[in-house]
Formats: sequence, structure tokens, C-alpha cells
Amino acid sequence: MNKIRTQISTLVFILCLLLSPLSRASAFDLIELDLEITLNQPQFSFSFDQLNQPKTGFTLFNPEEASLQLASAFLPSLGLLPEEDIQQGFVLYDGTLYLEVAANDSQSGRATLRTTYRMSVDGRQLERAFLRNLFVRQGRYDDARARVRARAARLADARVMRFVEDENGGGRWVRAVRALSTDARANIRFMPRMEPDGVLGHYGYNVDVDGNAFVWAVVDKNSRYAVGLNVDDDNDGVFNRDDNCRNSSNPDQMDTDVDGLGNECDSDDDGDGVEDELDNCPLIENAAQDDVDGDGAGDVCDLDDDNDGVLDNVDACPVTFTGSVVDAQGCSVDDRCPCDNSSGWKNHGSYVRCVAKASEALLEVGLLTTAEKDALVSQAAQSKCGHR
Amino acid sequence: MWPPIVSCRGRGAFLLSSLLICIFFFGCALHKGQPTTLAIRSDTSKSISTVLLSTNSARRALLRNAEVTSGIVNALPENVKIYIMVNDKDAFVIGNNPWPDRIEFVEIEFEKSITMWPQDPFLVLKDENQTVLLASMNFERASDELMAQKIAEVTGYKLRKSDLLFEGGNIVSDDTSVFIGANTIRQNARHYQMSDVEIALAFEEELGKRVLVVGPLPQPVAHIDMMMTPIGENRLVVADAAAGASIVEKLLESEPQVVKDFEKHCEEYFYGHPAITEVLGRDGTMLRPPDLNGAAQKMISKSKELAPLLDKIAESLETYGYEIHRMPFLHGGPTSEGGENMPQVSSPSFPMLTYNNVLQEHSQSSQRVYVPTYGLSALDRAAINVWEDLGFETEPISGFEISAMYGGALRCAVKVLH
Repeated sequence: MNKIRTQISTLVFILCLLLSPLSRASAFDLIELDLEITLNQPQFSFSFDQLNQPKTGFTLFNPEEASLQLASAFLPSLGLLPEEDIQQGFVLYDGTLYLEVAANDSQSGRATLRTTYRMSVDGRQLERAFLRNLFVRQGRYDDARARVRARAARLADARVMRFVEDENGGGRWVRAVRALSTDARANIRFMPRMEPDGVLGHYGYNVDVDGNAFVWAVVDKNSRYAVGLNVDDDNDGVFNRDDNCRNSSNPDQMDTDVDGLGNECDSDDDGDGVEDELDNCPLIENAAQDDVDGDGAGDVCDLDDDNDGVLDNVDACPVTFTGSVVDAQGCSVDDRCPCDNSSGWKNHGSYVRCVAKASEALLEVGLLTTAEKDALVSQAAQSKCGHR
Repeated sequence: MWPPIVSCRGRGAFLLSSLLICIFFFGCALHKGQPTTLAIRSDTSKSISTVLLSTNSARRALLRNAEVTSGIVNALPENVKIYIMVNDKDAFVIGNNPWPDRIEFVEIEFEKSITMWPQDPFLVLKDENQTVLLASMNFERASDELMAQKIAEVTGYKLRKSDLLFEGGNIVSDDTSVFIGANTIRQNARHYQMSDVEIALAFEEELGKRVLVVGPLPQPVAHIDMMMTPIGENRLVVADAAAGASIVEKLLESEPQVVKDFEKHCEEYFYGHPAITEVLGRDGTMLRPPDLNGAAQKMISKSKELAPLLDKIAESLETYGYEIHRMPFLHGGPTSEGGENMPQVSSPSFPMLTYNNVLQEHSQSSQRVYVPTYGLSALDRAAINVWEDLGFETEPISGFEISAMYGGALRCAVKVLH
């Protein structure tokens, strides 16, 4: 058999792409590494243009010009091994870029290696059906949930993940966030639309004039990197891009005042100028904060404004004086027989007869005692109501 | 030394020549009926439970087959145990493996090259109590001779070295008979300076079944498993080059672009990807894919020339009581050199489109066949139809067009161990 040798100075690259996307979620997939070269230059760029993936590739910086053996692969379908776990909500968007570097010379190091990955985004993958199928294939979601996530997926939520190995030979995916100038880890914010600037951990996305979309990231050393959408910080099933509370779980996305801030994280849900904590109706606009019965629930949201035990929707007398005894229609004796009758009483006797009748009705249903009824009638008789 | 040969003089006529097609039947009394001792595993066995594949990497070989390996693994039932022999495991990554307990990698030293054809270096003999791997006396193709030893170490099967030379692809069998290509008989006869008859008898003793030698010399197709398939119950499927040529000829007339695209596809993917248009050989020369423009037409002509030979073979087998069925076939594969010697691979060319190089399972209620397909739909479909008409459930496995340029397909790439 002939031995294959590759040289940077020529354009002979050994490329082999496993182009067959997994047709079944449970399929065996043996993948051959795509590119193997010997590098002894300060910089090397490679593009997977031949894979119909414009702007998918990497640039490797090797300032020490160490002699390095490079192997890389682009895995266009699932790049995770079955035993690997990732942050819930993270979705492999376009595949995995795998880069492995070995120093040919034991004196050579990898410490100064920096790589910029660029991964194109197939526009087709923004299609809901494609993404939904991808999510289902990943085995994390059922079809209904997958549809929800697919609808919310956006390029702007792209992230870069790095596979970190553990002592036991396993590992996990974490965000690629290491800063260049310090060993301390820092959460570097997502910065869209910036070109790679060589600072580790920066990542972003671009859409060029031709409409080709790609995400990029500046990462370090060699490892496996995946570019994807980390779209659900609060794991509430709603992608960040569409989540009106990114850091508070609110699956229902309730936004009463439609100000773009979900109720879960909005301090004034109804936008009436009264903070929720002080608002006697936090979900209904009531700047005046009316509360007839003083029970702490504003009238606009109080189902029983007069707190007489008869709900407002069936209360014929919705503003009964607090503490009054009411009948089944929510009306007290005073409601039935107001002293200040706008239409006027025929005479004082009419008023007293009204009070007697109303209180008798309450006596008959046991809401008043005889003594209480007598007291009411006596009070009415001694009043000036109905006098002209 | 081989075991004593039972003389069968006078029991059968023997003529092997380049002019006459002869199927030679050695029906020695000792082995009439069902074999009772250790015997070569039948191609028509009940079910497949353990197989061996081998996978190359581009760092070692020109022919890549990671994708084909994946396809075979996914096509076989989940209860089939699979050994994958590799000599460069670092060149691969497992993108997904839903069956970690089912698939086991067997590593050969990086310095040793292996091909993707574990069918050939050894045979599998079985009886009720044991499985024995029978290695060819010599096997000088890369380091494939290590395959039997390595798999024996892993499985615990016994390993025995035969006194005979053979390639597994030139031997097929059903429950009662083993069919051996004439090239193998003649090769041994020359090596041992003995007659073809004596060699055939030696094979019979070694393999535990009556032997039918399939000529002529030299064989028109390098390995008989590319052109004939026993399917049990005294039935054989024999390649029909005329039918294959007719199908492709009609396709060339009605949809010439389809054929052109197929030729172009084979060229472009020869080294695994269209971007790879050349590779640097060990000797420093630049290697390029074969030029297949117009190759299909040439293969149609070659197939038409070959057709009468295959028809004669089919007729001869019929006289031995076999029920013959024909399968479309288009000639191709590497050009062979050498007359009566084992063919030497010179260079790959248009793929040999064979649908005889299959795996089979026979149960009480059904028969299943795993069929290689190549991407020339009209021919693939015609072949699948034949298998289905024979009562088989079919499981096509795609991706064999490049390996077929080297003259190998599915059975060549899979050694059934159990």
C-alpha cells in the first residue's frame, strides 16, 4: 500500500468528509479525521470550502514555529459521543470542529497556540423543520418541545463550547471562555458582529453581503470545539432571543404590560407606575389604587370590591358599606333603602316601611336576629330620612 | 503436510482447460450427505451472530472505507457482534456508537498494513462444538495474514494453518457442497507439483464438504463470490452479464447523463472526496484517479463478451441438479494479470457491479439478504427485484462503488465468524 504524505507547500490535502448525515438517531458513525498535516509555520489557515461550507475552517497561530502534527475533522452531524453531556438547552447548530495538535519535537510546546474557528451556518438549518428534527435526533426533547425550540432558535445566540476532559477519561462541554491575559476564568460576553481580534474567548457571528452566515470564536490549544446555540439560560424552554426574562424561568412568557419584560422579571408588571410590591393590583393597571373595601386588593382586581361575600359579577350592590349584612344579591338594608334616595321618598313613612321590609327579609333567612331587626326599624323611625 | 488424499480415480471426468467449462464434482464416498465433521461454514446458515470487518485510514491506504464500515454495522441486526480490525485507530473518531458492547475494535500494529477484505486470508470451519479459523498457508496481500491470528486471540477460536493456499473470496458453500474457483486449484497444483484432482480432494478433506471446482482457467472473474451465490435447497444464483449490460445499455440510451454522472462520481470520490484529486505515493510519484469517462460503454462491451461464459457456467451447474437463477451483473474492477496464477491487481477501474457478493440469513420463517449497492439506480433496483422475487427480504447497503473499483463488495468486506 502506498503511504500518503501531505505537504503544506502543495495543495494536496487529504480530505475525507463523512457526508452522510445520520439517518437514524441510533446509528453507528465511524468518522475518519479529515485533515492531517505537518505544520512548522507561524500561521496556517484551512478552509472547508470544498464541503460547501464557506467560512468553515480554522486558522492556527504557531508563533514559535514549532513542528506540529495536526489532525482536524469537521463533523457535520452530531459531534457528541453518547456519554457526553452538555448544558441543557445547548444545541449543536452546525457540527463540531475537532482539532488535535501534537508536537513532533518534545521541546515544542502548545502553550502559545491560538486558533480561530469559523463555522458557517447552513441557512437550511434555520428552517424549523430541520432544527426540530435535529433536536429530536439528539434525544433531548419530544416532538412538541422540539417544535417550540426550533421556532425560537436564532443565529445571534451562537456560542462556542469546548470539551474538557476529566481524570477518568470522560469529560464535559463547557463554554470556551478563557481570557488571554489572565489565568482567571471570566465570563466573556457575547459580542456580535465583531471580527476575530485574537483575544481568547471572544466569539461572534457575521452575515456577509452574500447572505452567508457564520460564527467564529478565538479559542486556545487543541481540543474539540462545538459551535452552537446556547439559547436557554434559565432553562425554561424559551430561547434567550425570545425570552422576555432570560435569567428567570417563565415558560408562559407572561408580559402584562407588553413592555418586553416578562412579569417574572418586571418590577411593574402592569405598567401603571406603581411597583408590583406596592401595587394592590399588580397585573391590572390602576394608578389610582382604589380599594373600596380596604382589603388590600384594588377594586380593579378585587372580585368582591365591597367584601360583602357576594362576588362583584353577581353583586347588585357592589359598593356596600363595609361590615354590613347583605342578602343573597349583595345588598344591605341601607342599599335597599338609602337615606339619600335621589328620587326622594314619598314621605318618612315610606322610608321606614322600606327598612322594615328589607330587615324582615334578612330576618327570614337568618341573617339578622329579631332584636337586630327591631333595632334597625327603630333607628329608621327616629331618623330624618324621607322627611321633606 | 496435508492429510492423506482419497483416490477418486474413475469416479469423475476431469477436464480443466481454457476452452471447456467444467464443473468438477468430487463425490467421494467418505463425504456423502451432510458433513459430520468439522466443515466450512455455510453461506446459507441460519443467522449471523458475529462478524469481522476491517477499516483503513488514509494514512495507510488509498482506499478509505470508514463510511462503508458504518453502513455495514448499521445494516446488520443489533444482536450481531462486530469486530472491527484497524491498524490506525487514532485516525478515526467515533461520532456515535449506540452499541458500545456490540462493537469491539481489534488493533493491529500501525506498521502493518491491512486491506478492507477480511474475507480472504482465512476460512471458518465449524461443527457442533467448536469454531476453527483456517488460515491459508501463505497470504501475501499486505499484512492480512495477521487477521486470523488477531481475531483468534480476541475470540478464543482455535487457529490452524492450512497446508493449502486459498483466498476466501474464491470459495463459497452451502450446507452440502463447497464451490472453489479453478484458479485456486491450479495454484496449489503448481505449488505442490500435483494434479488438480489431488488438490481438489485435499480441499474436500480440509473443508469437510464435497467440492465443485468452477472453471474455466483463468477465471473470468477473479473470485467466484463475485459471480455466484448458493442460496440453499440446491439453488444457486449466477451472474448474468448480458442482463446487466442490457440494463446499462438502455440507461445509456435513455438517460446518458445518469451514467455520465455515475462515472464522474466514481472518479471524484476515488480518494474519498472530490477535493482530493491526487495523492503522493510512497515512491514519490503523484497518483491520480482512473479516467472513467466513457468507461461504462466499455464495460457493457466487456460484459457482453463475458456473458456466454457465465451462461455456460450456469448450464453446467444445472446439470448437477441445481436450480439456477440469474442476477444482473456488469463487469468491471481492476484489470487482472497472469493466466492461471492468482490474478494480480494492477489498477482499479470502473466498478464491478455485482449483486452476488452478499450476506444471507435463513430462518424457518424467512430469508434475508444483505445486498451491496453502488448508486447506479437502474441496476441496483433490478438486482434488488431479483432477490425479492426469490423470496428474500432485502437489506441494501450503499457505498460500495469505490471498493468495487478494486474488485470487492460486501461479502469481501465481511467475514462471518459465527
